[in-house]
Amino acid sequence: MLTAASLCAGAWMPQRAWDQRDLRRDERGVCDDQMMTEAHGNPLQPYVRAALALQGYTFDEAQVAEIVEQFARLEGVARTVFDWPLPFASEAAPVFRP
Amino acid sequence: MIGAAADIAREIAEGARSAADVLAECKARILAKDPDLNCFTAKTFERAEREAAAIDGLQTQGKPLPPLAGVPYAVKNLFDVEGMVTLAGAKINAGNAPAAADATIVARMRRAGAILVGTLNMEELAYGFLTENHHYGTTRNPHDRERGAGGSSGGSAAAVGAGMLPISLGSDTSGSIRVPASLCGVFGLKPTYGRLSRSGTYPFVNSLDHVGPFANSVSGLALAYDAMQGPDRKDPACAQRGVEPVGALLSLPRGIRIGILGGWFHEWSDPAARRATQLAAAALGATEWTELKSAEVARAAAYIITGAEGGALHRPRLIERYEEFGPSSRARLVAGSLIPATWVIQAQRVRQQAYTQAMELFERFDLLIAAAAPAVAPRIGQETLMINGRSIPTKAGLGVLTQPISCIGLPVCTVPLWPGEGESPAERSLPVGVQLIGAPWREDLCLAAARTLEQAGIAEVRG
Repeated sequence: MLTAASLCAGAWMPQRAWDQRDLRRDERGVCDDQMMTEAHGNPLQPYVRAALALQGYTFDEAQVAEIVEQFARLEGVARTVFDWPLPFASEAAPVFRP
Repeated sequence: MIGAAADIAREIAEGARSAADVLAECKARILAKDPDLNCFTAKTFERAEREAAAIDGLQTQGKPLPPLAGVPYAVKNLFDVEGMVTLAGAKINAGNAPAAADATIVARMRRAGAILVGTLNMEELAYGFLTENHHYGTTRNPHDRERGAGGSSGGSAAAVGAGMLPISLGSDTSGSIRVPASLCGVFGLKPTYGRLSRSGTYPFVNSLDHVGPFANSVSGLALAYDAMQGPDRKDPACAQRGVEPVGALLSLPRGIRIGILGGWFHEWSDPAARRATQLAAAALGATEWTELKSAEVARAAAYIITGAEGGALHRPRLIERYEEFGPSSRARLVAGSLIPATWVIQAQRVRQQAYTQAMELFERFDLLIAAAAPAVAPRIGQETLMINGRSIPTKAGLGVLTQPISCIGLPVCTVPLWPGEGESPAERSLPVGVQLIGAPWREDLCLAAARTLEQAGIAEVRG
């Protein structure tokens, strides 16, 4: 079944609500006050802050908000990958050679 | 429109024209057209004059000429060109040392007699499908200046589409040859992953990066592809295969089985893209629809792998020089560098399964066809595409039909069709590309099908 998750991954929301999200909101690509407020309320935000610190980044709040937004897009796409049924023993293609 | 590469090379070999004359005509076209389109970031006319003089010297002496003798071309500015800084569309690279040598495939083009006239604009760090470059400007579409050229190899496609060049080189991680070829109405070849050496090219996503040519004719595409083939131990992903020339084999074998990709590919093709696919299918005698069931998840896997590898590659400079990256890429790159390993491993498992499913399709078909972009070129700055009633962000959506294919490394020739569909006369005059997708290492079939469409007058580059 076609899902829009991998096309328009936007701000984080529970899996079951994914298809009901507001596309116009997801498509916004700029950092504004509303987005910063949303970033603070985003469940991914603690992970992003911890990972930024682990990786050695130092950013101001506006930059963190932008990164949270971008990470949320990636997380939305990752859901499609996680939902895909794979045999337990299926192997990765770490070095891809057709 | 400048002539086809094969015609130029033949005229020079026969003494009908000199390489210097061809170069002078090419330079005049570039100087007249480029200010309007912004394809070039640098011109290498002095080098070109030296290379053209060498070809004319060989011709005068009656010595045999190489296959691309005197044919002008240019390269996306992520290829190393001796003595020039390799920008990869990024200001952050502008202070780097100049390249000490040409990239492997640039050196091979030189040995084949081609004349390098410049380097071409691209999306910053090859991360995007638009070529609306924050540092070096937007490349405009040669068929409508209000529209984009696509990306990330936008300068490469637009320069050929505008008739400035018969051949250019680009790279394709997720669609960066096929999308701009589609939007600019030119032929483009993304070979099998590992076919052409990437040594001396600025990397983006090592496990997905491909390089390949654009051209205004299928024979030009084949000539450039043949010139660039061959093993290269400097690129660990480059297959250690000998040259398998396609130049003389551009005809489809009898009984070839061609499938039309439905499902994901049909759903994300608008009426113009569907019409283009239909035209190509009819001309190739393809009637059977099939489906690559893992297309959507393969695209998602490519997205995750791209984010993780691209982010990891640039992390040190993102820490030190974040503000020097363009605003459309820096936060995406940082976010990519935070992707957990479990996502990447799962994406790579999905990738392997998608490849296995594709190989099952190739037991039934020799070639698959699908549109290369979901729609005609969007207007510059257009934030969303409407595809069959669904809105998707332009920046990501332009690659929706190419990412599932490059994720699994298949060879694709993109051909320009002119479906004449759209809501406005402007849209009806624009091209849409069709992907001719082969099994691994079957570039010969992709190019032969392209040649069939070109000979039928279905696929063409319009000046």
